[in-house]
Amino acid sequence: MKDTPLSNCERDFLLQAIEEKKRLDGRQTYDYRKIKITFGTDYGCCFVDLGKTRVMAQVSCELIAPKENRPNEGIMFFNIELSPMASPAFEQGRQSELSVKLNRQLERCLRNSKCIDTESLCVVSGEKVWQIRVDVHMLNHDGNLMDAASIAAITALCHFRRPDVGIQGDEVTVYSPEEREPIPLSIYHMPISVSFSFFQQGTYLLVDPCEREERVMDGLLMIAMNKHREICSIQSSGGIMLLKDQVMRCSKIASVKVSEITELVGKALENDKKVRKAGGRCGFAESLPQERITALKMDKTPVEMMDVTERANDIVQKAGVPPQTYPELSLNNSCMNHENVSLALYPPLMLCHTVSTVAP
Amino acid sequence: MNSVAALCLNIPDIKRCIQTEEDRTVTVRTLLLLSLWSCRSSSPGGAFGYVHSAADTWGVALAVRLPFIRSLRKNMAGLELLSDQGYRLDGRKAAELRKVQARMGVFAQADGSAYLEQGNTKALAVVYGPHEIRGSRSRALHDRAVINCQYSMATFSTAERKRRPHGDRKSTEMSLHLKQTFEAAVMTQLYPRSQIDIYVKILQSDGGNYSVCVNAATLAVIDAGIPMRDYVCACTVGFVDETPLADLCYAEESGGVSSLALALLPRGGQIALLQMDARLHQDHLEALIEAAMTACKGVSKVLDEVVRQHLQEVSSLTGE
Repeated sequence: MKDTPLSNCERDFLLQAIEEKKRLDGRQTYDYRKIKITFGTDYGCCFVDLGKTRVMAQVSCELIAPKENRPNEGIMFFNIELSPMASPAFEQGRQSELSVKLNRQLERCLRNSKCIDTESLCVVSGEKVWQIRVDVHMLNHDGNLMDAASIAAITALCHFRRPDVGIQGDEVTVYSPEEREPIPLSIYHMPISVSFSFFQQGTYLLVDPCEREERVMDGLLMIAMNKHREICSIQSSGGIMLLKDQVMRCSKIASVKVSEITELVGKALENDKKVRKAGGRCGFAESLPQERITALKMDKTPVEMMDVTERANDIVQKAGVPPQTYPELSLNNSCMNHENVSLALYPPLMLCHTVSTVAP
Repeated sequence: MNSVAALCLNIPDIKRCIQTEEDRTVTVRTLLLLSLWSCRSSSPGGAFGYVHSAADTWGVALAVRLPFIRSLRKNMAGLELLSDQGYRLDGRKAAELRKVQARMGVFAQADGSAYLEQGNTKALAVVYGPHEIRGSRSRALHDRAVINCQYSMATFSTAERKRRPHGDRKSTEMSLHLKQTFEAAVMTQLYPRSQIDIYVKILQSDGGNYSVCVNAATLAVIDAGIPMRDYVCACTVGFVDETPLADLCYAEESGGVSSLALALLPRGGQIALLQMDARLHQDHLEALIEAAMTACKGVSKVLDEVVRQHLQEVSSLTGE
């Protein structure tokens, strides 16, 4: 199914709001949405919520023969799955442009930056190495999939533990977790991607665009960095012209954001470790018996909605005759007066507008 | 003994040189040159052995010995990409481009075509259009032209024969990047509801595939007479020993250098595409982008010359 296009009215509204340095969800220009990191019951399973965007990453491993030209290096495999569950625009089984773009970017971000020690994944040189497979599933698409995917993938890799192996002569034994404690991967650094969207030919810049903002943006710049301020990959996309100063500014913002996110990931991992050590319930299992659905739960309203109704009424009262007339509607509701029609037509818009003015 | 003579010698000659030479400091310098040279050409192990043993037997000062050995160790792990004298593997200086040769209008059937060589990387670009939308009509845009790019590599273009010339993830991504670059550069708003096809094929791959494709396609688009904002020029830049290297070749690209590909519209200094791989500290980014922009401007001069020459040839043929 093709995406329903954005109406001109909505597009203009969004662009105007961005010009006024306001965003739909009340964020500032350089703010991220709330990031929540949770873990599954198994090692190497991680859910990341970035606002309403929800992503799951699962790491698995397998013993295979190495590549001929690299006999003593393990293999990393990344796959991003865009299931129709996340958005009606995603089609099953087809390699869309977006999926190629995301997959390559994740590969570049995590494999080419050599953040994982692949040589430690070798079991028998030239014969057996570990293949580490990272599957990232998009569960809900509300913009900025790349950042969510990169956080989920690197967190899942940090969380993952592979089974221990023993070698006696030619025999390779893989020990179950009960026999021997599984081993974590050795990770040198944590690259995290930060996305910047550009509007009006690069005049305005937003960090962490939501789905609506992504639709009206002109171009996107993704910068992956680690907390040592090393850039692991840069990718610009969308037909936009950047200037050098813009790139430099973005890289400075990215370094701040990355250090914040890295800290968050570190805390989440530590927290999970503590809970697991204490033998408590963790991850997904925790939410099951309480019979509540935790997915997409809103923790709190991000914007103040106290006097929205009064304000909306205020605006409606003050507003003049709407600029456009709607013949079909006025035919159907001929008894209605003009003001009511306009209110009935614009409720989401009116609300949005007042909300964004109230927002801090 | 000057360096030219030193480079002509081979390993048995080093031995002789060591035995006969009186002035040790001179010998040591010669030895360094020789060893670096032979490392590059054939037997890094051999050269290492000689230097090591020579240094031991003569008791050359440790301060002199260590840098040798360190530089040679580096050679063992991978090739040394920038010599102490400031030369690269293929003898270029750090900011030097490879030789760019190009020709426009190589095919009669296509609306525009070009062939471009940048060092050993060779690409062929063909442009059709602007024409009516082919395939599904729903792709048409009411306010501008659709640009359709296809990137492929000839099966014989790499050392290992390629199974799939196009359609794998990497080449799909490359097609996307080309499309993005030309959407930024071509004045698509002049041709609403139409389509422009750009097909690029790499005939021989020796690093910098993306940039060579962009440069070739620019010439082809110009040959097709499609208006563009400016030439789009692309170049890859690497970063070794605190020095940016312009226009990487395959050996440098695969040597684990952090590389940056940049497509530039030189007149306004606008970046149409920016892509970087591997790790680089943030502080070096500016220098690297600056070097890439300079390199792109160099390429644009060459392209401009090619276009002017082509125009002259064509106009003299038509007798204008």
